[in-house]
Amino acid sequence: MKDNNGRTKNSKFRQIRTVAAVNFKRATPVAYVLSGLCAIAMIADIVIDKVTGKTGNSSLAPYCMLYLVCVLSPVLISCVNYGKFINIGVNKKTFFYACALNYAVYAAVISFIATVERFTADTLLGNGYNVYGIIDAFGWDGNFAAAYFSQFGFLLLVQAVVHTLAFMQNNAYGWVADILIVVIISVFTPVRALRQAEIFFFNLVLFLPNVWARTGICVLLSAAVYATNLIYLKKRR
Amino acid sequence: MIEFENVTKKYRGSVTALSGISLRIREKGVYCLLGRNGAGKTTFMRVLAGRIPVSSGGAYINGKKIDVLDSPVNVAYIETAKNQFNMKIADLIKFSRGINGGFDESFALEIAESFGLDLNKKYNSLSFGTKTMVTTMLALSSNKDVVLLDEPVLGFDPITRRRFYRLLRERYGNSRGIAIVSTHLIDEIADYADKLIIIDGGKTVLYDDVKRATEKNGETLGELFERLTGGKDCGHDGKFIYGKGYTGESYER
Repeated sequence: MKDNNGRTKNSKFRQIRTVAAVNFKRATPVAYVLSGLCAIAMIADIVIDKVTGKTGNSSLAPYCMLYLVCVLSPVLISCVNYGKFINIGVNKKTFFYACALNYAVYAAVISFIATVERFTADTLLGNGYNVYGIIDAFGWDGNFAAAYFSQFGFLLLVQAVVHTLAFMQNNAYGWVADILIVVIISVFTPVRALRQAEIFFFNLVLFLPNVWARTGICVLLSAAVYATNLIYLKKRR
Repeated sequence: MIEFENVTKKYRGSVTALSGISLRIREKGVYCLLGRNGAGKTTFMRVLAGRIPVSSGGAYINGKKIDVLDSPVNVAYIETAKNQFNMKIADLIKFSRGINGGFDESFALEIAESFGLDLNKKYNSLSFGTKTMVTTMLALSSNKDVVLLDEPVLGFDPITRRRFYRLLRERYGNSRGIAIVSTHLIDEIADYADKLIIIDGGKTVLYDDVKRATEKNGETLGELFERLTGGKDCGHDGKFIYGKGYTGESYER
């Protein structure tokens, strides 16, 4: 593709892909290492218990540690990488779409690994040893597809929220958002009527019986929350 | 090509960095942007690069209003040598190529060789002057219509500075595009710049050919700058001095 002066233009998707690739390689390795180490520690704990013949023990499923990637990466990307991208000439919109691509990939891959582990390794451990994870806690263990898509939607929502909150922290919006969250938790929770509103929200994103509806709601909510970044992107240098 | 129409930029509602700047830059070449500390030079560049929105007025490139979300594709501006990915220089060049299809990789390698840059060295291991060289190299190789260079020779030794100015002249002195260079090394840039923009207190106080502006009163560029921005007793009455290059007519969009 050439511009009016005959110079080669990269397609928008190529630019987005280039930025997303740098996000995967830069800053997020910290998240990979941390979650990897935690997962290894959990696996080692389980293996030792099995080898030594301990029964009746329970353990957190190692795949839960992968979720650290979904919590740390948005923070690192929005706080560390953003300034460097803008400084080298990456367009703000390109950054916006590239991060969305990053988070979709993280949600897809981590959900897959977690679901595979839940339905293979964790099941094999059985026989007096209990391995619990989010899939079990939220009742997403009906089948592979239910577990996978439920996690995908949930992780996408988590990343969208974390990225948005982290991105606006050095501005007044960030403070307002933080205060709002604290107020909602501390005021809504003890008040019965308001607590019902909180319960309704969590039922919607975590416990809705229909997996497709639940996933769809999470994806839509993620998109809506993430889209608010465009407002702040305009002002942020 | 570049138009500022009564552009004002205020930070936090009270600090006025740019105050009603109206300017039209049509001719290609090397522009020298001068101003004292806090005059508004960096804000000027940030507005032009689409990094920050204006408080009022409009900034346009080729008739199109500058959008901060979708910043102009034909402007290259690397603001600071400090905030870069800790990649090898070779990888930074490849990355620049990935986000900018027009990036002139062979020219970048030529500059790297001319400045003696080791492409396998990681960015954070470089000295400050070398980091500035890398960011200047990336900006000059961008092949964009407008290149903004904010203190591009900071940390350069005198020989390297001369090499840079000659490179700048070769690249942008011959109708490739517009290069706007902000520097405090006034008398050095005078030999290489075509046009001069002086900003003081957020306003433009001079926009003219370098030669015409200095020959008028037989001053060096440094003397002219000091006279226009030196203070109350410097002879500058606060009015915008028009050079012959400014026509004042509206730009059709």
